Amino acid sequence: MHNTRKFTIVILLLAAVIITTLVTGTFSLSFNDLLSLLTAQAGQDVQLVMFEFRMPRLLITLICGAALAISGLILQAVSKNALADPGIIGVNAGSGFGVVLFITFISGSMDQQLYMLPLMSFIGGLLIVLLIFALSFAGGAFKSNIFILIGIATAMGVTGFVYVFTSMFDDTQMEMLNRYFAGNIWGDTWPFVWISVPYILLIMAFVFFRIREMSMLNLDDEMLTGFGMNVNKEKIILIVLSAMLSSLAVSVCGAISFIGLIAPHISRLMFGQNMKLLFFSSILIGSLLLTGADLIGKLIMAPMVIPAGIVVSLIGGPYFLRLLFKTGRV
Amino acid sequence: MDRRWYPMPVILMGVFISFIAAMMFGADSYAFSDIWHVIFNLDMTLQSHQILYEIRMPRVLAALVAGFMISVSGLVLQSVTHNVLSEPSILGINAGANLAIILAALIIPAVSFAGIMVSGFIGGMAVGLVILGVTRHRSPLHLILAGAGISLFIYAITDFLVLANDMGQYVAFFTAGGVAGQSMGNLAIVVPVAILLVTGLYLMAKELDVLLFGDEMALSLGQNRALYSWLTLIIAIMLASVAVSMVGNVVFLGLLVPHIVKMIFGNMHRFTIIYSGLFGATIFALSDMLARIFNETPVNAVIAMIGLPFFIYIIKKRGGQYA
Repeated sequence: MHNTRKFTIVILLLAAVIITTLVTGTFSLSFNDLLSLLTAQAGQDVQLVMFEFRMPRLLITLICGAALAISGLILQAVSKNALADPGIIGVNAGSGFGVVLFITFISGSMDQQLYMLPLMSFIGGLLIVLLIFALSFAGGAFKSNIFILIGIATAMGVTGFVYVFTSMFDDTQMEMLNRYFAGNIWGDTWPFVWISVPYILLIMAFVFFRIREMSMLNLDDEMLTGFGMNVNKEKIILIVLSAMLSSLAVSVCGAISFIGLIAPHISRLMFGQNMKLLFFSSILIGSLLLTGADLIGKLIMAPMVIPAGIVVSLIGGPYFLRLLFKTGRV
Repeated sequence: MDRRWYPMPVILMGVFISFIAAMMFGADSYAFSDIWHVIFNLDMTLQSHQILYEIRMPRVLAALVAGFMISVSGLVLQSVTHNVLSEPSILGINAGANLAIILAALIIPAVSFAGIMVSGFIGGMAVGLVILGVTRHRSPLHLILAGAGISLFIYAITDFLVLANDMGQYVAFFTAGGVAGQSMGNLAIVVPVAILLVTGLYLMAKELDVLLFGDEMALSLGQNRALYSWLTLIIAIMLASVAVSMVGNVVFLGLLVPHIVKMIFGNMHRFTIIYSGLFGATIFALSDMLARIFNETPVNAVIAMIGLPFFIYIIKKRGGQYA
């Protein structure tokens, strides 16, 4: 099948999910309502539901899904391991630690300090990834397997460590943390959109200009050095970008794993190894996965909402297992 | 007597001291004489004796027993899987036990502690064996990735059940791990089980030594390798899941302790089983004491703080094996 046709299919699927997300929920809208919105003839209630509740959440899931997917794509390219995922190697745990610090010290004045939350979550995630990265050099060269092992260990350790402050938490604070770890899209209002989406788009643009380097990292490090590439520098830049993307994403949408693993993998199945195609298709598929998961979580046990993170893991876990069975050697 | 038994009195002394210290310090501190009286002439009319005997003593004893079990389990898992990074929580045993315990509590609301123990064992066993099955004859990295991925998946199922049934409080305890709220009744169930299982492993110490040498050696010595590796694995998983049903999720302990013990005492299981258990008991009881002093922090956080640097050290040291 031609690539354009595949892209069209993915985009159509995404459009379907977006429209379904917009019309379903506790306040059902009809397709006519959507049309009336476009022609600016909608009633007040429809406008309120659409612009204050549905739109920001949809935007967040779209952008965060894409960010997680690209973050995974980068990690997989840098570590040369198709099983790398920001959630598995500790970004979520690091961001979680930032969130805990935020809840512990700032949350009292939640509304004014909202901007601090993504910032702290972001710093936490970034610091953890840089730490893991710094530890995975052996004999002057970056060892991707050690990177993943230390990442997993750090994820486990930091997740335990996160609970240090929980003994001081009251019920609402604990609830907040649990919501974070369940991957509930908690930042579904406009302020959260403004503090995350522009940065994510900016970083994505940076990544776009590094696609060539990313595709070259497939080759042996020695060979790349021979070509005159400063391999360690490129890897550090890419890993920092990846950590920024995923920690920004999880800071507004909660700890979500597996999207960074599945989206690039599905893209690879559909579009082969061309990094430019992979970049765009991962964005689309990541958005599709997260919005889809959010939609499923909203509909399947309505009126109860199942956090998107749980839905993603329930779908992603078996997929991960299948990958694990298939890859003979990691 | 083998000279490797010589440190025994010192280590027993260490266990005893950690018991006393853990009894003395905590949210409230007590004098040594109080502890002495509680042990030798208990007077339940005194409030301090009541607190020490009914709340703190079961807690400290539970920490000692759980530390013993988790460490021995980690030691055996490492030997049988020929993987220095094997450990109950990495093999998904904690996640599986967790899920099964939640399921049991859902199906039978007033489930007894014995029921929790059995269901934890079934869950831990199922997940542990799946992960080991998937990663047989594969690289250590494969095992770790499989464990991390499958654990994430199982925790998602657990979270889903918890949310759908509104049991947040019940579960927070397991994810954070802790020995608070133990009763002598629970201990009376766990201790005999632990003694039986550890004795079983100790009787197979020689077989474990052979397993550690590798498949060829086992074959040439005429050992029924499959039988012993399954038997010891099942006992190790049992130990870990019983401990999980008592103290919740504890990471790194089963990795940390056997490594330290093997560095000091070598690889003979005759020694390492006993020493790992005693060391683990000491470390867990002291970590719990620290946790209590720091405002009831979950004990898992304390152990993770010690365990994580150690884990990274092991990976760095044995890095060549995985790279």
